[in-house]
Amino acid sequence: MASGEFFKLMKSLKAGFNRKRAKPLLGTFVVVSAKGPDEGAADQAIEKAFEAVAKVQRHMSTHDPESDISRLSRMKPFIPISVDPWTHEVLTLSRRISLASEGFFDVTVGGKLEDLGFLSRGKGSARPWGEATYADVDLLPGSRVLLRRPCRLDLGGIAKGFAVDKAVEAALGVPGVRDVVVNAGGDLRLKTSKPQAIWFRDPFRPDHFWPGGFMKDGALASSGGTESVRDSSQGLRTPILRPGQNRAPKLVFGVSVFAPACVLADALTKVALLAPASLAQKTLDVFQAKAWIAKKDGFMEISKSPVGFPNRLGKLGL
Amino acid sequence: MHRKNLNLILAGLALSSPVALVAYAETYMNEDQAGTSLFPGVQLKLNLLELTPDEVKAIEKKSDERVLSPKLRVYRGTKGETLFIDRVIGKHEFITYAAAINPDGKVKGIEIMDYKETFGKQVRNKDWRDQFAGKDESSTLRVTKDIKNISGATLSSVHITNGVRRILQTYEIIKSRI
Repeated sequence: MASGEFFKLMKSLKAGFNRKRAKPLLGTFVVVSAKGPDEGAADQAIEKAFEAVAKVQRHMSTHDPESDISRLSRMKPFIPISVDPWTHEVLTLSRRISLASEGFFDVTVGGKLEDLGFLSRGKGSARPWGEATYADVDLLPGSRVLLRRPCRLDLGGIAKGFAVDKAVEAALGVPGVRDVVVNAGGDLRLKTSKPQAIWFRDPFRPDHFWPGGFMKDGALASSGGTESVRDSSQGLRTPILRPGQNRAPKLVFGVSVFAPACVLADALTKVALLAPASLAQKTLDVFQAKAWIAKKDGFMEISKSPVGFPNRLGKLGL
Repeated sequence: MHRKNLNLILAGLALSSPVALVAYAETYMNEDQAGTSLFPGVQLKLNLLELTPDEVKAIEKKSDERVLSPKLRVYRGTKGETLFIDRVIGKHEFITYAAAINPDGKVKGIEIMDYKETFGKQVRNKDWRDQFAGKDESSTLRVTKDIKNISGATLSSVHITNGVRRILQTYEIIKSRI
């Protein structure tokens, strides 16, 4: 065999078959790319990935009244209800992150978000919601959950990352598929045989991208900046709240978190934005994560800069 | 393993400066591929239809969504399967997508076909958009296809949700004609 042909053959073996599809799910665009030994395997991997994302949406959406999360929010305290094992898994991990971050990550923030008009009022939620915290969510064996106080749960800060992880796992379960990338509107997980270039969107200037180096096994999630600003009853605000806070901030820093899993990266963006720098750093270390804070003029490492809300909002252009 | 990857990333960042772009684009599939993906094994035939001004008004009223073009690209299968090729304009993006409607009038699935981002007020400005009419947009805009794996603030799919609501109303009105 001539050497040229040999290299061509090697190249074709390495390349495999690439497929890429995008669907509107989880309120954003979910893009799945997979490389398989043939077209069928790559297609099947992508299909499995989308099925996993759709399953997470079904169980954890706050907009679907029949999801586990909506059912829990309607539940009277001290009555255990059964949820899907995946919902139980997310709530268990949420609790670990809440404990590590001393409550700066808290899934019961949904009540506050509803009171502030970020989430629409659910059926039968005749309240301002009380002062429940993550400690009021009891996780029982057998995928059951019990609430000690009425809570409106919101997995908006973690379920997307969880869905991305499950999608990657599902796709890698297809024989011969080794390369998978899932990106749910900026929450990203890669598992590839060769390092891939990654980019950050500048959270204050969405038409600017920052090169982020290379990664072949890991996850990345971003929050904050002008792109996180939403309409609320207080006007344009960011739905990222400190525990016990009654007003939504106008604008927060942008942050990007690298972690071994997307579920961690997603949840830890909130900790990096909200917690005091030393506590944020400690929590990131627990989960082997690293955060980059994005200010108006670029990214900087978390340990070198004060973390949290901008002191002078005017300076950030809003 | 993770540590090593992180170090690589850090090295990349230390030297980096932002890249400014006018637009970002990606193509996922063409109309044939969308048809095969949403209605596997179904023979689809293209119909080009045009809505009358009255039909446009009726659809806009019922869906609370503006009809961007009265011209429709609709594929039809032998058992009444329907595939709409549609376009929406988001906060700063154009999205072409395919919506599959089952014979019972329910949405079977949606595939995003291509996605283009542009920024600034220009996107909303009709005159600005009209400059591109009849031209290859990728030659006018500085579009990149090289930037992949982007992490950033979340994009919303609300415009597609609204687009599908409009398509369902369109389907009700034109189903006897296709």
